Amino acid sequence: MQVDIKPTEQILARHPARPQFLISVLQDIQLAYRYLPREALERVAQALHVPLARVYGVATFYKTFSLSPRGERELRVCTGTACHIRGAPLVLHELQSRLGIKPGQTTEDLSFSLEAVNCVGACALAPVVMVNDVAHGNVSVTSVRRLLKAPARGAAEPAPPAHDPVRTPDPAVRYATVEDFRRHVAQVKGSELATRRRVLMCCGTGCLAGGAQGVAQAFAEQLDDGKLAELNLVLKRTGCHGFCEKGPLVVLMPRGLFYKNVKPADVPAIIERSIVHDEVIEELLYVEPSTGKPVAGYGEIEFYAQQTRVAMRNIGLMDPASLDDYLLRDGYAALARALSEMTPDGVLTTIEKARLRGRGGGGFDAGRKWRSCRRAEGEARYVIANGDEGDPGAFMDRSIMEGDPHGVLEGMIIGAYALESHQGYIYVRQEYPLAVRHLQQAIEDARARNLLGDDILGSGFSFDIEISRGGGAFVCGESSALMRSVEGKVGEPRAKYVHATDKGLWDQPTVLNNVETWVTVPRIVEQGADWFLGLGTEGSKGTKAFSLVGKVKNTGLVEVEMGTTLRQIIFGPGGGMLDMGDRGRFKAVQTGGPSGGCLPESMLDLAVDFDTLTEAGSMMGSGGMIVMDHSTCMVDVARYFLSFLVDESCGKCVPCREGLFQMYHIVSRICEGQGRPEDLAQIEDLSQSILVGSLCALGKSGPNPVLSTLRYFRHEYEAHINERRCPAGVCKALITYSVVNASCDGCGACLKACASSAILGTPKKGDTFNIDEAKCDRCGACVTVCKRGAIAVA
Amino acid sequence: MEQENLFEMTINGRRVKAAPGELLLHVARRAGIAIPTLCDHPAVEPFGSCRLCVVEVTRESWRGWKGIMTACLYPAAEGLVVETDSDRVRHVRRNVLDMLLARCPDSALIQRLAAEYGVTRTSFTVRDNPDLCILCGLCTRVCETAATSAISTVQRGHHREVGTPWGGPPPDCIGCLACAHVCPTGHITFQEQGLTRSIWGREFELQRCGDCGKPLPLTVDQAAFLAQRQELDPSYFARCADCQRKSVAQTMGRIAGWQRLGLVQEGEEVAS
Amino acid sequence: MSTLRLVVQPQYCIGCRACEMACAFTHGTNGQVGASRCQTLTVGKEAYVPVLCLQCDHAACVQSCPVQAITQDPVTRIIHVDQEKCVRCMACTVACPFGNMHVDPMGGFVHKCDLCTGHGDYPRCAMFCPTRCLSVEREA
Repeated sequence: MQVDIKPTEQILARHPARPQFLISVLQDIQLAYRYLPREALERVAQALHVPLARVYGVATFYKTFSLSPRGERELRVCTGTACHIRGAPLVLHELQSRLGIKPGQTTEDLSFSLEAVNCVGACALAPVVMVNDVAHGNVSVTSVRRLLKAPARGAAEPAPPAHDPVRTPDPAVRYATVEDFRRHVAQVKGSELATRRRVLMCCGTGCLAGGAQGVAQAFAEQLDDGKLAELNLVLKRTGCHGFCEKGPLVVLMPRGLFYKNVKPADVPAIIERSIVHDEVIEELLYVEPSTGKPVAGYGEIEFYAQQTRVAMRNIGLMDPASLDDYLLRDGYAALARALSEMTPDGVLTTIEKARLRGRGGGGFDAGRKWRSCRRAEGEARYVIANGDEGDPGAFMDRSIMEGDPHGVLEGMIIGAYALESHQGYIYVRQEYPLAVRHLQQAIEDARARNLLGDDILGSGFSFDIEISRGGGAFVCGESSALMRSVEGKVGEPRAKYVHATDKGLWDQPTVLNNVETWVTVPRIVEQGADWFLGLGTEGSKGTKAFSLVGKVKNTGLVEVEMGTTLRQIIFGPGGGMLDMGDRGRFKAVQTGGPSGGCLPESMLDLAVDFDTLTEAGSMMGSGGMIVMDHSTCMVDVARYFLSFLVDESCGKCVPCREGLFQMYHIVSRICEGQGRPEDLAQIEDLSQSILVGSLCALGKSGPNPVLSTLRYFRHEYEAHINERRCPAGVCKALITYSVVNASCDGCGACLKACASSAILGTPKKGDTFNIDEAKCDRCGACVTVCKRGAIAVA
Repeated sequence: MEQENLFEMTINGRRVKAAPGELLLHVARRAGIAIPTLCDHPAVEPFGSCRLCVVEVTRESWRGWKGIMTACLYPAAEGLVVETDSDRVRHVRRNVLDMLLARCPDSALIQRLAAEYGVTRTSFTVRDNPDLCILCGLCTRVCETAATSAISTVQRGHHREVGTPWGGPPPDCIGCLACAHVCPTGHITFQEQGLTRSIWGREFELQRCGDCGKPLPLTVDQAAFLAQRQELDPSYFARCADCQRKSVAQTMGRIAGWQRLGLVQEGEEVAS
Repeated sequence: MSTLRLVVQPQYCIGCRACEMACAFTHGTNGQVGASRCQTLTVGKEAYVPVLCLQCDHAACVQSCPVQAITQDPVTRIIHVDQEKCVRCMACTVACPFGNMHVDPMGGFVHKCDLCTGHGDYPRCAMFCPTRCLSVEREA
């Protein structure tokens, strides 16, 4: 079959002919053809002066790329931690049965492709399945049928309005000087944009998955410019409020009226009753789990009231696509101050004084890193924002990039000023298309107003930012691998003996910090180092954003002061455990993603802080916090993390590539009831070598989940090995499903739901139902559909 | 080694001198201390993938903390204290070799090295259909340095392998055999018969001597590549060593003036 | 330390091949005789020429090596092959216009005349040449 090479030529024409653009070019080709045709790659090798073997190596390294055509509907089942414990494996299994294909395959008629992918960052709505670019939340084994009918191409977000009726008078504003800027800010703060009432409609990825698009559209249709002016109102699509489970969310400001689970059908009532008549609609109010009472005010809801939002201070309260909205929130004031009143060294000293530690996982002192970079010699200095957020269960960075893109930019520009860097990159993972769009828009808007580019605000300082997209590789969250990826190469880490601050991107001095770290910088410059020092603990200053997911009532984004205890977070904003009953009791909380560990009930009063978490056998990581109850098997969790790491390992070094793989084998055997007495000793011995011998942090911290579960839940491992028993009732080989005939009413729902025809009996004929153990897949479909709880798992 | 800027450090209890930026592996070798390696080769940049050359490193300012670093990449520094054979080091090496033995049970090299660390049989699960590739990456790296980057690593994690575009004969290969010669386990093989050399599923024609017609140890593609890359006229790669020697002997003979003395006639045979 | 130069005056060569034997024995390992880096060729009926590395100033071998395993010592002007760096691509064996890069038949590695560096640092061939066809000059 001849491949049309024209799209490839067009894509190549859009990019400079240099090797660093390889990944970006390949991504566009994947989008255009739904795979990477050989002819296209041969042309790319020629055009970018990259050897064909290297192009092929890059194409096969990154998961986004496919060498064979993908289906019209690409179904990506998220297998992130939150989704895993909320039933993703069963959803995947169901899709496999219905489509007749395995993950990684495409149906013969090219209508569907099935992939098991790593965390897409919509954890509060677990289990999540992406159909092309659109996320579908709360998917269950039974709702899969509906999912397969979802449209092939849906807009990932509502189209922006033709024009914002409350735009500032002169769209061609450009700040030649700091005074210009300050004058304009004053103008905006006195304009209608500032004074009108606001309807904040959350349009983060999570709420979109819940149907926020329809809600936003309903508001836009029913309130035209005239009506908006009449009601002194402005409609604002915002970023993720962080309370994803209760989405779609609508908040009316300035009153702060908070409505949850809003549907398009609710919109007329909201307009008529709440906006026009200032009435509260009880049914849409959030009910506080601790009191059982509905709460009307945004500021009174425990989930928000108990947070201290610094990094996330803007998200949900402004339109990320509006630079003016950002100005209303004192955006770019810190930059103006830095450029006009501070020297580069002054800015650096402020960050050093504030003792800001990196929020990406390493917790390294940012000021020290910046200082080393400034001291290093090189032809150019680079500044990078790590937006790769690969930890399954974490989506703080997604919300920040989607909801406050200018915050990230401002932080980077200030940092670049301190470091005398003139080029920055934001590396965004492939799975966050909305974040890429919003960041790109913000960059263009900032450039247009002279907040980015040459001679920023007339200060003489020049700096520009480019977005670099990931290709579906968790290892690219590792800083040296990330830099290789920006250079257009495979994401293989380098030994850290030579620091990136000396030789980083293109072997030049580079500072890489996480998105959350960057967004905190303007706050520190604005309010001073002492303010920041006043928050947090002795060793960890400031606040930290966590994505609290799993078996809690309120899943979402929680930002608290360092030093808050795990108990306070989980039972405070978290609202406590999700399920009632014995199996719903708290069992463990996993922090730090695949590099972290699981902490048991006895450690709930641990104060969250970089060092205390590490001492306890876990780590802060990027902020993922996954709550597990007694329906979770800790050995299965260890296996889950090992399988993730095995999948994401770059494969360069022996201890990680071979060692984690062998560990996965051992733990799998244990889960399958084939554990041996010497297994635990071998795991511990092997872990030590992997810990010290691996090349990068992925390998080095790889054994942590296993070691922490062994430390606190050794009895579970022993039960699996010595008794062939899974106490939590999860490991398929060790459990059986049976019908409790006393409770069964013969409705036959289980029979219909069973994909393996393992249930025998005739509905409504008074038969006793039996499950054929040999055929039973333990998929759990019958348990889900049985209204009598008549299926027992033991 | 330049004599200025040398400083002192310690290896296995011995004081040695090292130059700034010198890699520990080289410092150790100079001191006569052998450190095992698999993925290191002087012709290419160090890679740090096999982890066999790990050593234990500390300095006074680290207050007793000891790091495990690969000697091939870690730079020497004043006051550094290095142990090349401590228990921790041997533990890592043992496990690395044990894992490699599970990956390549039939490799004589791995068997020998593993035995040195007490491993005669792997304690891990042996790979299905194992071959001899230990994924040291030497072949792809030397191809990049010395040739055309015709081969590369493909996929990632435990699916990673050394491969060619779409698994077929690599279009950019010039048949120089550098990959086969640096491969430590003999995984990469080639055949040479008459005027043909084959490797990676490709057949190459050997360059022939312009004088005697015998095949040169270079392929036609390789000769063309070398001429261009090393900026030498193609005529440098057109004659075999034997004929080169005969030619120079002939010339030298003439220069020595035997022709005048009648001992050598024009066009006479030169024999060795 | 003065630099050595090997002077070759083929008009004095009598074809005795003592140079070849001296070279082979000097470069032997483990009691085995090595391969000679010098080859004496017969020209015509009675003329002989010892062919060995001329340590060229702009050597083709140095330039031809794709991994830069062949280097010239800036003081002694002797050209060395780094055996460990060499990847056996054989480019130098063909590039040398005088055929002075040799391949060891057993080990497959490339070697050349190095004026006996490390083996006494004085060319043995010159020491054993009866007619002073091969002789040593010291540069001041």
